[in-house]
Amino acid sequence: MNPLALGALLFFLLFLAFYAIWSVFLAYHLLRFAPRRETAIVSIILFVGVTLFLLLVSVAGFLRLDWSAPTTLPTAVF
Amino acid sequence: MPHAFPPPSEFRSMHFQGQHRGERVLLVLRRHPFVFILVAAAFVRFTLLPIFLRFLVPAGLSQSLEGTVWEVLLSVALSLYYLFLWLFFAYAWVDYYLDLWIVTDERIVNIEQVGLFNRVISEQRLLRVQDATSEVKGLFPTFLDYGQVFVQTAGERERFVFEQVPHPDAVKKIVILAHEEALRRAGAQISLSSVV
Repeated sequence: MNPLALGALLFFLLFLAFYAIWSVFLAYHLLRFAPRRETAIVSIILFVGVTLFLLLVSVAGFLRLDWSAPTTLPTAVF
Repeated sequence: MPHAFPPPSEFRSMHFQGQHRGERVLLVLRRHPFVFILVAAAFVRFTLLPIFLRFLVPAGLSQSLEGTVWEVLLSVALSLYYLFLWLFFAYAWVDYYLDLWIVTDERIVNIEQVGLFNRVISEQRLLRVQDATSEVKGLFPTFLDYGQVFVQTAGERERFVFEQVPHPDAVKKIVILAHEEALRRAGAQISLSSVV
């Protein structure tokens, strides 16, 4: 695997960990302080649903990429 | 939105954390939904930005990226961008939704979510209310009838501000009526205790 690509992947995984922690905090605050519990639950389900969709699209895109591609500078062709 | 005192039943059945026994909820207010719609519109613009930029990139340049590590980096960056955007939107929603102003027959409660780990709750008894003023400023607030309500009190926190709430004039009237009702009840209790 290209070192740059590996670094990008590791950074992505690190961000996912931060994302997961932050999501838990958001859900906790909503469940604890929301005046209506139903709204909090619907918000959390929506948030998780869209997150999973974004992750699915990302992973699908990542699987189509060549992670061992060379680090060649792009040449613009006009 | 109630225009007369007492308020409709939608608020009477509501309860909040710290509510006293027998305390009646008169109003539960949040910022006008249009305020959050403006925030959502900004997020939609940021969502469309990469798509817009894609059309500005010359076709030759995008073709030369294919099969190189730069395509990988761009894909990862794009994924991170959208995930971060969604997380930030969720945070903006929580911040909007958890900001509340509650008026009961005893007090005014201001619940403000400042960031994720800072929640400020302040309250003032209705008896200490001195004045209430409503303000509607701007094109959208005028057409959609939302604005500020300033409640002057005699407490440590001298002024409560209900920010960008719907029907501010009606809210102001309800606060004043609730204050007068609280005064009347306090007067009746004093008379009763002096008789006893």
